[in-house]
Amino acid sequence: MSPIPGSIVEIRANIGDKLRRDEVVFVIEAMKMENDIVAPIDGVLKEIKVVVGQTVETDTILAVIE
Amino acid sequence: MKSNLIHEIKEESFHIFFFDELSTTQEKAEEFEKKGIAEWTVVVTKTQTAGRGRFHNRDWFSPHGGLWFSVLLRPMINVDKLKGFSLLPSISSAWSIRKLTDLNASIKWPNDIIVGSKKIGGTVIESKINMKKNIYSIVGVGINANFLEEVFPQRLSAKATSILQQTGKEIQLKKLLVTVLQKMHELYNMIIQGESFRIIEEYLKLSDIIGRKVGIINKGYQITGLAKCVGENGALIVELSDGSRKKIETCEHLIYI
Repeated sequence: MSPIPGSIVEIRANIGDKLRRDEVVFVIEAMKMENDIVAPIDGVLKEIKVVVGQTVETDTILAVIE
Repeated sequence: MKSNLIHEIKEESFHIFFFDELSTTQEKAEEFEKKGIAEWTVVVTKTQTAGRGRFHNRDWFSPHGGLWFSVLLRPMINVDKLKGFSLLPSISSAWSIRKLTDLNASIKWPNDIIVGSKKIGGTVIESKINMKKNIYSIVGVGINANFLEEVFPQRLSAKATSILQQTGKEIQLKKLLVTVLQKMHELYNMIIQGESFRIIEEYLKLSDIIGRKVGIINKGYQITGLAKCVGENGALIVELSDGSRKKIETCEHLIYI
């Protein structure tokens, strides 16, 4: 989930990628801050629910990791 | 890693590393972060070869004579409690320029430090967030100090200025650095103590945006409205022509109309 409101400026992983905890998956720009959003757990990226350029609110689901 | 390092000092709460030349101070601070170095570590350089502003595709002209630095912070608290954090570097910079010079430096929302209509400084913050916890933030500041406008490339010469250009005098860079850091430290402690409302009070003393008609440009679209207030998290609230209010949390360009 998005921890903050902002704009998705970068998606650094693809569906099917094996992610490690703390690996950067999304970059969200908000209030002049560039925020690297990391994977909270080890797992496989099953789904990406946002696109670059999209504006998101706090708690918007960004992706599904299993 | 230390090939470019000139010297390091400990001053009050700050551990400051001075470099001769870096690609960017943000990158060097990130290197330090990965080594587990404590917060309030500061990276300063005489010149950056690839200085950047907000969004990585925006370069920041960083010649000799400017103050270019980054600060490593580790708030380690929920991002919901970091209201006003994005405003720290611009408030600290504008406040310090006012304190040390006769210039009426102000902040153009969200992060430009201006004198008159020209930009004299800029800031950038890069953070790493796991779920809702802020793991670290690197706060970058660039202030055009001791060089003249003629040094700027043509694309910047009409819209950028410097302290030397405006005052006719050079400023002591270390004094400017420590003044900005001290102010940033004071403001940061306000946030950590849950007093974010005081950050907005400080911001509004340095910004003349309230009551002005502004255009906010994002992805080629422009919204026009009257700037009504700055919210606790730093968002700009504008009143549109139909009387409705819109919260602006991101913008590529803001213009005064």
